[in-house]
Amino acid sequence: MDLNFTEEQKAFRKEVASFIERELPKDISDEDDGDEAWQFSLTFAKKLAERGWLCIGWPTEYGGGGRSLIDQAIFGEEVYYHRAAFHSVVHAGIYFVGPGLMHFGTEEQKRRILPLIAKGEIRVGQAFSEPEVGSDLSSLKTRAVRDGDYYVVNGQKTYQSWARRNDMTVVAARTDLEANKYRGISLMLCDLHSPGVTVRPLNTIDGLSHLDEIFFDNVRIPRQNLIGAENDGWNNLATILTFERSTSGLRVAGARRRDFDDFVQFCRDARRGGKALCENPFVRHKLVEMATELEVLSLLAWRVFWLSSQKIVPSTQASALNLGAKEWQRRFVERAMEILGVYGQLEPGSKGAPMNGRIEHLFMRSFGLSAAATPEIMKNLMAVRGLGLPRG
Amino acid sequence: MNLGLSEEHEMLKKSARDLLSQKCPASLVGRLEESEQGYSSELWSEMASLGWLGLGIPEKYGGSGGNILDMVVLAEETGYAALPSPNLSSVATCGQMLLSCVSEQDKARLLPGIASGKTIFSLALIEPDTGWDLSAMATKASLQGGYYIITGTKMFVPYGHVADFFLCIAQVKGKSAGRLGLFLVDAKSPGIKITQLKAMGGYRLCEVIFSRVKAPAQNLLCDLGRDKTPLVKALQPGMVVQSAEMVGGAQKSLEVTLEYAKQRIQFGRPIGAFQAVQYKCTDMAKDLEGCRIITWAAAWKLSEGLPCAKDVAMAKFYANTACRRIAWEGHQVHAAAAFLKEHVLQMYTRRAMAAESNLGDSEFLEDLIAAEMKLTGKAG
Repeated sequence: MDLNFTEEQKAFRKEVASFIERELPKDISDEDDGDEAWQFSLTFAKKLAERGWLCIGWPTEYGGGGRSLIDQAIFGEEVYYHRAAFHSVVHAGIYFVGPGLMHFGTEEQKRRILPLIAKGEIRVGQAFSEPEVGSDLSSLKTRAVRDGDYYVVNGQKTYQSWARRNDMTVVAARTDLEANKYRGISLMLCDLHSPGVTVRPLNTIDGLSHLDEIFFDNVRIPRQNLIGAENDGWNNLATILTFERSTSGLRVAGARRRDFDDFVQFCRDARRGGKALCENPFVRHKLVEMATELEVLSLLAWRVFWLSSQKIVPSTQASALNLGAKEWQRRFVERAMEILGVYGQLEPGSKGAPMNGRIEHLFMRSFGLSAAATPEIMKNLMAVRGLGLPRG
Repeated sequence: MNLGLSEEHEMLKKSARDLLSQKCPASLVGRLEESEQGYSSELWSEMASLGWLGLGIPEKYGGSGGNILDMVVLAEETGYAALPSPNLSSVATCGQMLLSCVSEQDKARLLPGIASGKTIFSLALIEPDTGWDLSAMATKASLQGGYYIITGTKMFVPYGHVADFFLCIAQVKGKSAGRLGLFLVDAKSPGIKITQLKAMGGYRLCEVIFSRVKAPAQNLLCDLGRDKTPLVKALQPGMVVQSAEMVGGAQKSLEVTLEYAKQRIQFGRPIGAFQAVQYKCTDMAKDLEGCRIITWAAAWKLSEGLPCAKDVAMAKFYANTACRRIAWEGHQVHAAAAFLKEHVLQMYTRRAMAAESNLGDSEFLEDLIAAEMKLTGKAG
């Protein structure tokens, strides 16, 4: 056990934090989905990349900084804590699609794609879910048919984070209709600017529009973009999802910590009946519970980063983190709404909204927590793979 | 950075697991619960000879060296085995209190006995009307002719029936009135009456009545001041080691439950194949992972001498409710089976519940955490 960061790591954390504080305009929210914010985020990502920070934990031959995953996690934590614009748009590329490619991409793909991600020049996503296929992913219906040096893809993907801001995405498509449903799936990188690709935004109840649908209409994907072997995409897809879960800790230790810190400060400052809100025993009790649970999750997050940095696959720990994070978020917004009482309903921008409606926004957003893997599916996986229980 | 255990820790863990699975089977634990003494002197001597009782005590005081993290690694195993012994109270609580707040001379005089297991210490803190509200403490010590005369009733005194010495916390009367003191009291002093309580946890607890008990003036080992902060600080090692025992017990509860879920057949398949049962198991595993890492983190900070008031309180605060949830879910999976006295799971459930109020109940800990979080509002 040693929770110390090295002097170098501490200095790096400070440098990242002060850079963001200096460069980030106060009027750009981390969840602004407008074009102006988007333009800013493009420049900002490049600035982070110029400093070699964006993919600091990647190997240098793929444009990374060649430092440890611990440095990458420090960077991610600070970026999320400081609500640096649009980090969630580059998240997939840095933390799970890029690392996925590093694992099972061809050397040519790695050299072609990874440096572009690391330089902040392209954003990549993953396109797995479909209108009829959510938790039961292996039943996906999007088809890819070989035609010479191309695959021709037809189908529809949905609930894709920021697809309209992405340049490429990893599509999971069925390449063998005869095989067992786990055996006929292939992964391929699709250029989202290709003819036949249509992206349509979905409006979500948190007042934003960050999920999209993608329609593939005879989209031609070069064979050289096939990731892994044909028909052998299922395990790679599962690995990408495992990477995704392992990095959910960044949002816990960064974004959630910030939301909570701000809320605690609000409770210290706001007065009800002549007393600070946080002096109310009912409020205090909730804050102490939330703080304790968040501390547990942050430690689990770092345990998962550390295990990954040691090349140990954090199976049970990552599941525990992921489940715990979703539960915490839900409990946090519920308790915060209880504490805010009648004021809690006011939306961002409304007169009188506490914390400019942040809690209301987070509350509505919490209904989307199951969008990337429901807790029930996580538990199924954890029960069978982590705890050795028989399949249901 | 390292968020795992070292090779030495893994070795300590393994040797403790091996030894205790052999020498402290559930059948022995059950028998000891029925016995008058409540623990095995033979096992106690063996723990001493292995150096377990000296862990966390420097060699110059007869200990085996090491720190709180080492004690925590061992405590997970004693908790896993549900080993009944005065280890937590004598070594982790009293030994570490002495180490952190008494004079060099008193350390040299008292710690070797603890480390060798020959002397058993017990903390006399809680009173019939205090619970964990330490400000309500009524036991008094008045200085008269070179002796403190101690009067008061202490409850939940661990293994008081076999203690050689009590560390009695009392209000100091006379010139330092209003201050709390840590008094060393020989358990054989006249005026002491000890009665065993019947408590659920297999961890022996006593009522100890002090009626004008005389202790030499130099037995005021430490002036703990007017507020509870120094006392709480002195209790931190005990709190963390208690959390670690809870983690070990919860680990065993999870394992027993998983094993049952895999072999119990209903409706033609193992019940562990039903999602309703699987989700209870995953919740248990999730809570356990959290308890363990926050306990390790608190122990590490304590071992490094870093500020850790919030971390220690949070570790125990989290273990209190998480371990209870683990116990409940384990019982749900076992249904009627673990309702039987002969079942191993209920042994751990009783311990988890008793541990919840030992060395800091949730209300007490909540106060500590809230103070650390500065939930007092802006002045004015």
